[in-house]
Amino acid sequence: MISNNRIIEECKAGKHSAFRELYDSYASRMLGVCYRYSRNMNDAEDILQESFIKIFQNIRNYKGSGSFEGWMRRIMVNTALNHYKANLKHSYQDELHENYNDHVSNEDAELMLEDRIPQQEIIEIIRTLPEGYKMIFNMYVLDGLTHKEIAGALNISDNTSKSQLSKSRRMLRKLIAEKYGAQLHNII
Amino acid sequence: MKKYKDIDELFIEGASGFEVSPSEKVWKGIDAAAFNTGSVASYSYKKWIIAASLLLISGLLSTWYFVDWQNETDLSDKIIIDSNLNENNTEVNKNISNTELVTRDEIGVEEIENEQNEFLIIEKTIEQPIVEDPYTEVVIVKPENKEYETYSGDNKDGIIGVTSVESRSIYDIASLDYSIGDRKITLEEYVAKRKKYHTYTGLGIKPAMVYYPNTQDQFTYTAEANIGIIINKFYIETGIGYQQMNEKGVYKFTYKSNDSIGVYNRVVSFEIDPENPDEINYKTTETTVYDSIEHHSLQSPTFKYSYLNIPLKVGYKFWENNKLSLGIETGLLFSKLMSSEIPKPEFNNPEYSLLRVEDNSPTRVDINLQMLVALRVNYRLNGAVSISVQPEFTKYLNSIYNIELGGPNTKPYTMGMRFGIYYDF
Repeated sequence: MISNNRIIEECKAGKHSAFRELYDSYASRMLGVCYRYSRNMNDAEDILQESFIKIFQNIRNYKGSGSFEGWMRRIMVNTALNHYKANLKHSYQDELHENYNDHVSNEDAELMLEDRIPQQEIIEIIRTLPEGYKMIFNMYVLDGLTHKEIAGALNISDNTSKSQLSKSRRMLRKLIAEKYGAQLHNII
Repeated sequence: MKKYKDIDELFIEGASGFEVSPSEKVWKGIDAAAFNTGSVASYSYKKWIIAASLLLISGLLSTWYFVDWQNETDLSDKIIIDSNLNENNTEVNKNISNTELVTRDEIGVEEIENEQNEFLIIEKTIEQPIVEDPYTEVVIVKPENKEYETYSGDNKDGIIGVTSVESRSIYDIASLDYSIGDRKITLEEYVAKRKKYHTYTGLGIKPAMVYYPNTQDQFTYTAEANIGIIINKFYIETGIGYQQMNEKGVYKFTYKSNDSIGVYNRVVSFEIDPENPDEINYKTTETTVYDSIEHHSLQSPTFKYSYLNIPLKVGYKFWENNKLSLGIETGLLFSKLMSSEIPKPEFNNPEYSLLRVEDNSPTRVDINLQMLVALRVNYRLNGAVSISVQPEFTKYLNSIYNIELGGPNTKPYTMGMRFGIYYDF
């Protein structure tokens, strides 16, 4: 579960070289997380930097009871959300308060693709989503937050989170179908 | 051809392990901010400490103001003595500081029927034993709350009886039967208690419920030791306490299992229909298809947190008699997280392959500040010891979770009942 207890303990003891070692071990992976949530690489690096400062200042609060990477990832996601809310507060509110009750008929359909989509393209597709959709899709699907957690973080209702997620899935399916000729098969 | 069971699977697989190398300026910024400057957390603690100090100073100044105000509006200190009072008593009373002796005739109290050695003492004049003569009876007048206490004194063993009566005029007092007493204290104790300032200490326990806005409410208890000072009707109290708080944590398990994802008809054999060569008869068997599927499950063990508490309270006794007093108090409660008892996640299903465990419980902050409001009902058991029952409400002023680490901004409140025992010095 945790492969770098030594580094963590040394960080807790304030050893500077351990912080650098920790950063080198995780920075690239964490920047991948930040990039999914941000508009561009500069923003992503700002989020990464701020998150690592929080991690270093609070590493003694890491209880060791869960995955260290998961703990770091939550800090990255939370910092990204704070950036997002600070920069786009008004447009975000307008967007998320729409009431989507329509159900997407092919949301659970299987997808058949001729070939795998390259990873960089997958990330860029996610980043083409409108900001609110992108946040919720990232949080729910890729970072494993529950609708309740998303609702608390974005100050919206659980139902709004669910409907936004449906919308984002539908939009992604459409993009994949148009760009990569995916075949859809309803399985329910 | 690549098949995905839904759109989520496509993106989970595609985004998994995505990495981008950051530029060197990121580390430089981290290095400068995290290791060459003070922490953000310490700044926020300073803010709370400044706020608490201001509150303490405000409380002290307010108390001081009210004390002075009472002194200015009190009647002038007087001891009213009967014209027949013997010479010895007069001498004793003359030694009382800031006290003016006047005879009953001088203030027009003429209805005295049968008492010889009696006199009225307006409160705040008594700072030393005053009763020297056997059977001398004393009335203490407390003009600020219109209550009166009567005492009968005995100069041999220093014991006086005490009682209280409701509001009376000074003429009524003069005609009271002063010999009644419902408890006894020594003169020395009495004099000490009548001083404007005195200190006390106490012990208390408080069971309470913590009401969280978004999670399950939990029981908490506090045990504390207090010291305080009473200044007329005001008191200031502080102390040290131990508090244990419980909360449900959240572990998220991600595991894989080989699950049935459907069935298909597997062709076992086939034969050409002899009567109709254009048709082929297939013999099939229904076969279940298994695949490795990812699952999530949650576990909510009880996390226990221990805090060191330091209360700082200012109170006001708005009603009291010899036995009972009612007071209202407010103040701040500092809490420092001392330790936590976090059970390890337990996953005991050998049929499943555990991929990872995430601790989704929010991280608590080290220092909290609570606002406190309470009603204190105090019952005096004897001259020095009293017990109290105290309905108490507290509200957190800062989040109990570390918001920077992804915790929600949660400021719960508590409702509890404090039981205390006090000793007055």
